[in-house]
Amino acid sequence: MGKAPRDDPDPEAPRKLAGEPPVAPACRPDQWVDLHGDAMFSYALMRLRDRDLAEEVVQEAFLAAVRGIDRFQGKSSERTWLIGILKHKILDVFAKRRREGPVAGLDAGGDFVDGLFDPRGMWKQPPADWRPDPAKLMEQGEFWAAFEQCMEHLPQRLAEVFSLRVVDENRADEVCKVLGITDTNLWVLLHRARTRLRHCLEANWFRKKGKTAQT
Amino acid sequence: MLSCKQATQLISEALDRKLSLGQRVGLRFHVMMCSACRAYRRQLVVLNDLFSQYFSSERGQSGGRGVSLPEESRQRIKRAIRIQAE
Repeated sequence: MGKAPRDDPDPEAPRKLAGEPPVAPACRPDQWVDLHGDAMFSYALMRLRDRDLAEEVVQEAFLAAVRGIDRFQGKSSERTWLIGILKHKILDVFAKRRREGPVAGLDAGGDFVDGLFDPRGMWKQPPADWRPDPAKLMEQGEFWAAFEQCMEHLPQRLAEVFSLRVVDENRADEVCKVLGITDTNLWVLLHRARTRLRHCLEANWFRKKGKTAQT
Repeated sequence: MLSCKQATQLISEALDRKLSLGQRVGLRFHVMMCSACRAYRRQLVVLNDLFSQYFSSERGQSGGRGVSLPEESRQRIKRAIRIQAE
């Protein structure tokens, strides 16, 4: 909580006093790839799960950003702004796929959920009694690495609905439209995705970590 | 009465939409009686909030596992940006 030394004045102080908005941080497209390339690529890769396609979409997003650079106003960070553009490019990929072929993979992951229950619909192996501590988990890089591995094991269709709806928080009707599925499809697919992720995290994190991950 | 399989589907759906009155009543009754589905619900709700919090943070948006953009496409994209910027 130390104060800034007096001989190091805040360069923005006079502007603040004059009530002007702060200067937008320098927007330097020649540095974008070094500053944000890896983050953009891993963002696209998690959602598209195809390295070539992810590289292509990252390039498209950067070029769109150069064209629209006047619209960057420094209200968000440069990274957030670029990711926002990338997000739209990724939705375009899904929409394009949707236009090009029939909707597939609606049965993805159904067998897995069926396998958790007996013919009467009772748990064969009930969930273990772990209690996640969100504050602690937020800070644990290892947990998120385990999560990403679990994501990679989801069938493609389940990973898509989960990324679009839960990770990116797109509206449900938008997700349905982009993927060409109904509400009911979406709910069933999300349920399968969550159930598999819960199961995978239980096996690969909560059981292994035991008490350290609990409250 | 709902089976555990049906109950888990409703527990998950409740994160996405408002259940009908009949579904809410059926689910409440089932969960009261069933500790396994109670654990499932507790875990799903906490994980759901956690995901939402994490992925709206800058760290969550950037992915954490150190995936690198391959050198070749790095150079290609840099060139493309330079050309576009001119």
